[in-house]
Amino acid sequence: MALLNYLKDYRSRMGINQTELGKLAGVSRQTISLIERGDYSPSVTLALRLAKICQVTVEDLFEYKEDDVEL
Amino acid sequence: MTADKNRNEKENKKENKRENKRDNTYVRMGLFMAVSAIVGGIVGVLTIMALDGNLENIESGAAVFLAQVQRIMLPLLIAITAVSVFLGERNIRKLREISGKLLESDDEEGDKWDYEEERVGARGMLTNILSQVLCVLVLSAGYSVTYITDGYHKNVLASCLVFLGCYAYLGFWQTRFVKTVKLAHPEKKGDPSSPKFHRQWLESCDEAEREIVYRSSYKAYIQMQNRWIPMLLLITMFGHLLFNTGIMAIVAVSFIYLLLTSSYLRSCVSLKGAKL
Repeated sequence: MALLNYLKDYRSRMGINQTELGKLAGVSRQTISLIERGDYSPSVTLALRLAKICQVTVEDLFEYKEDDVEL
Repeated sequence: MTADKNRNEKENKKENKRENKRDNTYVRMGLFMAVSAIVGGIVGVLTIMALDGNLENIESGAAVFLAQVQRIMLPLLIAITAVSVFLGERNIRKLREISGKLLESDDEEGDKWDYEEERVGARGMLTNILSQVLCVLVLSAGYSVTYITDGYHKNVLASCLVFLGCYAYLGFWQTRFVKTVKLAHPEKKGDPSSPKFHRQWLESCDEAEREIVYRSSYKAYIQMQNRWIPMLLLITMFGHLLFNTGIMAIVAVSFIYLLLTSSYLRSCVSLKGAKL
């Protein structure tokens, strides 16, 4: 399973850097960087906060891609 | 259809057998213990054979080494202090430079300096702890009342003063280290002189930073529990068996083992009952 995200795209569209987005979301620049690189899956609270800042839904910001699983 | 069904059943049975083999923990554990006992027995016999007649030589060699350390205790402590100050100042200077660059940089460049900050910080802390350990080891070689004889006490007193000076520097260094990190991360809280420092620091970390702290702590716990403490226990037991090093070391390591496990389990139990 993989959690894809488009945070970097939305941040670029907003014209702000990682530090500024971090300040708006109440987290460090490193955390924003980790999320953008896909190295950290944020909590539901942080995901909702980021979506609100970017003025999109969480589904627009994050995409859950499931591996091929036989059910 | 029936042939397919039979084939599937056969495959399922094979898979179950394989899983049962994998799950046979008791057999594996028993084999592991038997092999360890055999290896331990062989090593024990070989050690006794190798030490036969040499034990006294080793003991007298250790006594000579201890006497040498006692003799050069003061210059050794001065050297450790000097190296600690040199390395400590160099690390603080590097950290200050990195903090300045971190404040100016962003995105990918920020990541690079973040990593550098972590690396230099870890190296600085490790140097600090290593200096403390070395100071304790050197002073312990000569501070016991058993060794303090007439004409020797001045050397011990001077060594104690150097030891205290070194410890004071290392303590202040840790405070300066925290303050330097705070330059680039003003959101971080915590008074280094407070006993609640670690809690305050953790509370000022965000969720990703906390995850790094939790993961690192668990890894350190596992390494201590599964590797280092049992190994130290074995060494102290062998030391006492062969060189009569005393039971105190075994008691200390066993006590640490017990404290580490009980505090971890206590935390697990209380967290299960608490709102995470």
